[in-house]
Amino acid sequence: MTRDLVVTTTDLTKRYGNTTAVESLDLDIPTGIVYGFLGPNGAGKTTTMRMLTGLIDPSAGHAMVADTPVTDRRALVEHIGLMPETPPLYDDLSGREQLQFAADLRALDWPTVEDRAIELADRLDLAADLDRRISGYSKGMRQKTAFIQAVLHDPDIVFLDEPTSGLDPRAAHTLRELITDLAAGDTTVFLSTHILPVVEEIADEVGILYEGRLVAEDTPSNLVARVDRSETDTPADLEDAFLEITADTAEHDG
Amino acid sequence: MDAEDYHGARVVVRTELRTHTRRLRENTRQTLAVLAWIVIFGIIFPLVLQGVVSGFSQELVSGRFPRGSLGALFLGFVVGGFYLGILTTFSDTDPGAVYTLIRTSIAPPAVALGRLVNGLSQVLLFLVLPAFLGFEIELGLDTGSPLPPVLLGIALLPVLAGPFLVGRATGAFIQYAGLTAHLGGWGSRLLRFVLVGLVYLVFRLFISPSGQSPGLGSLHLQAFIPGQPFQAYASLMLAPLGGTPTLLGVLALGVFLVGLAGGFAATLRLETALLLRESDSTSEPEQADESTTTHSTRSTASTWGRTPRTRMAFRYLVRTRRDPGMITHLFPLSFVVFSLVAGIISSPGTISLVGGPACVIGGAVIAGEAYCLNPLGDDGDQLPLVLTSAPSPRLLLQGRAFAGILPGLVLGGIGIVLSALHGSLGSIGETIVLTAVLIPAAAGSALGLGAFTPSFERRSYMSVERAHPSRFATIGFLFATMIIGGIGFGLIWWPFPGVSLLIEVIAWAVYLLVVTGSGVTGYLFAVEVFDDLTLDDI
Repeated sequence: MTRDLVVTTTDLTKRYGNTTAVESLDLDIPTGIVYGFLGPNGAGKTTTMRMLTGLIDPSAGHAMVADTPVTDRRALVEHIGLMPETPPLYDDLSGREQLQFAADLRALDWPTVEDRAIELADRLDLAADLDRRISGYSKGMRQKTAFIQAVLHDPDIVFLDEPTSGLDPRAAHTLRELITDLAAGDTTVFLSTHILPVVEEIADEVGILYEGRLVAEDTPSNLVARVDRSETDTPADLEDAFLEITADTAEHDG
Repeated sequence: MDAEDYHGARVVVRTELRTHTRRLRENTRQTLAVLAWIVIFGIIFPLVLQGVVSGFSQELVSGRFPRGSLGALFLGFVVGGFYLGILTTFSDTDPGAVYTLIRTSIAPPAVALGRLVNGLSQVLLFLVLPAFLGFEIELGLDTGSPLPPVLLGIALLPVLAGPFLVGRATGAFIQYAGLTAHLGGWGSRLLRFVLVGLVYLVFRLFISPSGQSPGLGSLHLQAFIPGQPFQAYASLMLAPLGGTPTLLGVLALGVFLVGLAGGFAATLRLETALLLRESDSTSEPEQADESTTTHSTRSTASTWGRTPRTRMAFRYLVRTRRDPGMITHLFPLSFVVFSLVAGIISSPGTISLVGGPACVIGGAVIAGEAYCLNPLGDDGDQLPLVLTSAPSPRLLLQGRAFAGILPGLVLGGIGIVLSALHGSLGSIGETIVLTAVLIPAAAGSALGLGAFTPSFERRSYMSVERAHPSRFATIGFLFATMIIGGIGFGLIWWPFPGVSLLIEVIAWAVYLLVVTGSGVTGYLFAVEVFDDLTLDDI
């Protein structure tokens, strides 16, 4: 594997009893891009992210993240950051204490990373609330805290599950900027979301998962170019591409 | 395990203890519960058992080394440690949201170590220490020297911690085996329950009060094994107080230390392996969304579908079948069950005497405690829906009551059959009336008690998602129900001698009125409280 690829998977599969959640997934994700990971509900996106972050074992196939097998969790944790859909926070800590906890877990020196944490919090309009208890945080504030702790250690790849959910337009805009900045700094962003305009705006590459299988993978513009617009004059967008690809797959599968 | 693992585990333990202590300090309900625990076990119990401790101290001071008592005490701690160890694998094992951060930040052995040390610290700090400190102080005052309590504390540590770790490793092993063999939550819990029961039974068969005098001094070990090794261990560890060290004592100490180290290593290894299986099980809901639409859509059975409240009850029971964790708060009651079974095994004739009442009272306990003691607590997430959909949450309360009453009545029915084996026609009729009144009343009373201080806050272990009733409420309700049920059976068994039938009827009427009244009042109070509920109250 070359270092240019931060994620490679071969025949990656996850089964639960008789149900196949992810089937023979082959991914090659280059370093320093924003990879949009799309799919309908229950397509297997979260399961894929859990396998790539070592939270669950694959049933079959192989996956490497930052040159590390996903089954080698000890080595894997150094390279990844995860912001799951439900922010992993202690209600009884303040925002600052929570970020300290995240830094402590990774044996980071807090005074060293504090500036970065404050800078991120500042950009996300959270700095003034860092000493408040998380139990009093709004959903958006929780999202912001979870994002900061996921990128605090400057990981090789950060997995974001619906990161803009619950954010006001201004915060969502800032977060999109931060994601782009991360990618520019060589951190790959694996972005799973249903908000397609966000993906269209910031993703360099997009994968579409349908019933556990990768049914399309390309740049957003190439995916949009595939859309048949023979019957309308309005320009196509990623949403049209997503709907058409998933509908075609459903039709093909019968 | 390397230095990074120890660091990660230390951070987890520190943060868990910090958030736990913060919650105890800031939540009046939990502060009161801890204070009550300290008062009951740290002050009242030592005072009540002052005679026992004094007798024990006098034996020490007078040079008569209390070998038998100490052996029995240590054996008790071994069983208690094992019980606590396995108990911690029953509850607080479903990690919450923050767990994903920990899992993706430190290596699995560090996660397992953090969880283990955290569990052990919480048991020691919040359970064992307050309960034991009072006795230690009393022992020090009675003997006039700090040496006996210090030596006893040192001697008890491996005796408690070793079996705790072995119990936890055993529980983890059964959990792992259960997951591998697809036993499901019920199968795995049942196995652990039976195992704890067996250990308790063995303990009871080996040790019993001699009946000569109350307290520890009257206990003797009935068998050579395991009595002698425990006594030899006591003689070794408390040698400065008059014990005579022997090779057997050294061997016993070795066994405890090996148990401590082996239990620790085995628990770590098993819980590290279990982490992945837990994650597997927690990620299944994504698939369940699909499967439930095609395979397991469960309509309410016709017998349950007649009224909304029975449909609600059906849902609570179905949820329990799918997730036995909903009723794990009942596990501490198992000691009462084990005691009864042990009593019946050692003298089978008692089944005709205690079997019936035990089942009826057990039915009342289940009716009250299974779903009603923290009404709507588990439904915290549903409350926005409930408050905006139904004019009153009473439907949920009724559903909870029915869900508890049904298994309660099944158990009560068994109790009636057992009572009928040896009772007169009249006493059978009285038992039926008592069952029919006591069990629904228990559900109503529990609703009222629960509504008095409903807890929506989930018990937090790495933000675990569970809102069980407190152990104080659970154990308090158990004893109250035993007393009230016991009075009922007292009325059946021992009619007032020399008084007229009218007086007996009046006594019965008063009893039934009080029991029914408490049930109805509890239910009405709960309805009133929850009718006024807003999300501000959560």
